[in-house]
Amino acid sequence: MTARTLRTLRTVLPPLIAFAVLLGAWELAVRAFGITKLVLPAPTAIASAITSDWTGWLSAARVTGEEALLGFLIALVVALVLAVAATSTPAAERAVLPVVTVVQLIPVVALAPALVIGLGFGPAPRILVAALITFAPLTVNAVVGLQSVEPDTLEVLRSVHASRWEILVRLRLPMALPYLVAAARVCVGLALIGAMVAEWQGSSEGLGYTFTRAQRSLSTERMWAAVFVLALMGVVALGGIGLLERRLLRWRPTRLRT
Amino acid sequence: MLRGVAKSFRRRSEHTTALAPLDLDIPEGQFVAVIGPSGCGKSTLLRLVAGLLEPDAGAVSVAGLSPLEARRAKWFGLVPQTPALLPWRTVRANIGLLGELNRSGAGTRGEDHLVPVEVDSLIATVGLQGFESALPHELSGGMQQRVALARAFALGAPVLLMDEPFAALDELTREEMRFLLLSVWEGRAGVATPPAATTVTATHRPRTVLFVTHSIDEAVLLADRVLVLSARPGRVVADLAIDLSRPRVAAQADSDAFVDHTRNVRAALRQGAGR
Repeated sequence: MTARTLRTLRTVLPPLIAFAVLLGAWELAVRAFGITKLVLPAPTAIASAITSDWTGWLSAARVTGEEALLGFLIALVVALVLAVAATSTPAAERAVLPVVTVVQLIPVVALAPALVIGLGFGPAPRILVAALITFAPLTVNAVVGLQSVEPDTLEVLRSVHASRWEILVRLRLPMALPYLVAAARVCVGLALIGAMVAEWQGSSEGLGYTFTRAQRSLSTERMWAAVFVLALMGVVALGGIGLLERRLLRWRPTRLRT
Repeated sequence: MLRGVAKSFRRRSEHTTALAPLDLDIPEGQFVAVIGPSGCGKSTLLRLVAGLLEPDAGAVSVAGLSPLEARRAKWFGLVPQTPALLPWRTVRANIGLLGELNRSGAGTRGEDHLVPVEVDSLIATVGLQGFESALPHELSGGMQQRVALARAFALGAPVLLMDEPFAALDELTREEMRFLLLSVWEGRAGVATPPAATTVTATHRPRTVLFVTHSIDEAVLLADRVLVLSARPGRVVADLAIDLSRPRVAAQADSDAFVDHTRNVRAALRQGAGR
């Protein structure tokens, strides 16, 4: 075994074992105490609910995933525009940040029924919920990131009369990247949850719809399965962000230590 | 190059006067050290010249240009106290950075003064061969400051503005950096002379340096002229010519003339501090 595979094993094995122990205990408890599936389905029951209908789960996951991703991307664009504005003048900063705070305090998920009335039964309200729920962390991190520029570096650029645009593109945005990646990590879960919960309201597709339909037929293992599939999507998305981070942020000294 | 400068201004920050009105005339090619107690407005002076701060009164002119015009035409090479490198750029890319900026202004008035230096020869001069592709966090503090120095020289800007560039380094590295700066500035390292094929005049063009420091030895060792500022509000309490021969060498620091100069600077500093 090479040193590298050993190292990989050492990082991968402990969490795998932890999950195995957790699921094993769950399974054991359900069987030993004769817990009915209405109270808590066993992991094996949940697993077979997934494996018995691969294509159904895949298409539901795709719907919810697309809503979450689109909502996230919209929020990212709006966050960047607002953050750039907030960085350009103190007045704009004072205007933007309170708005962000208020949006953050809105229980966006509770807004979903109202949004469905306004935007109809299409994907629009779900995308909007995902966008609203990720908007605040993205904006706050973007503002902090854009402003994390060292005054000395800024002066060096200004000393050759670099334009605002040049300072933004060559200095501020790269500086903000680590902050945006950190925000994205937080937003993965938020966007997926937002999209799924929004699907509870008058949707005819997606994991949220699968969930409510399973609820009506008291099919708890399918309800749990929907939650597990959502969590799995989150794990995959986080993995993707990790890869992106390793590519984009190779210059960060902290990356070397991991 | 700061010829004909008549500056008199009052810079107010938080209702304190950082710099009392002052007039200053710096001839082209002179190495001027500015020394004074903390908060005396040394850095303010530097930033006023570069137009990074606006004077409350008075005017700055750099060879007939306003600081803004001079900045646009890339007259300045700024070396701040921290290396201020872009952490995602390699050594070579950091040194080349300023040349990539503000291209819209290329060829405008006054840019014929630029004598761009080849980045590779500059890297060799500051002793960073083999580190061209290194990222800043892979370098020591001294090496990072070498990159900052090279970046300031790369454009061939005729005016170098240095704000305690070596203050954060350890003593030995600081000494090394002083002589490195001198060798580049005095043209001994051949850096100030562009490749003969691309130039009309192969003559070394002296650069004006405004060097802010709080080290007496550093001021005397490097400069042709030491300006001593008083405690806030800063005003010039002494304007001393340092007539030590060039090229400057380490041995001069032990000479009587050197010691005399440092004594004069120290006395002026005391007087300015009211002690």
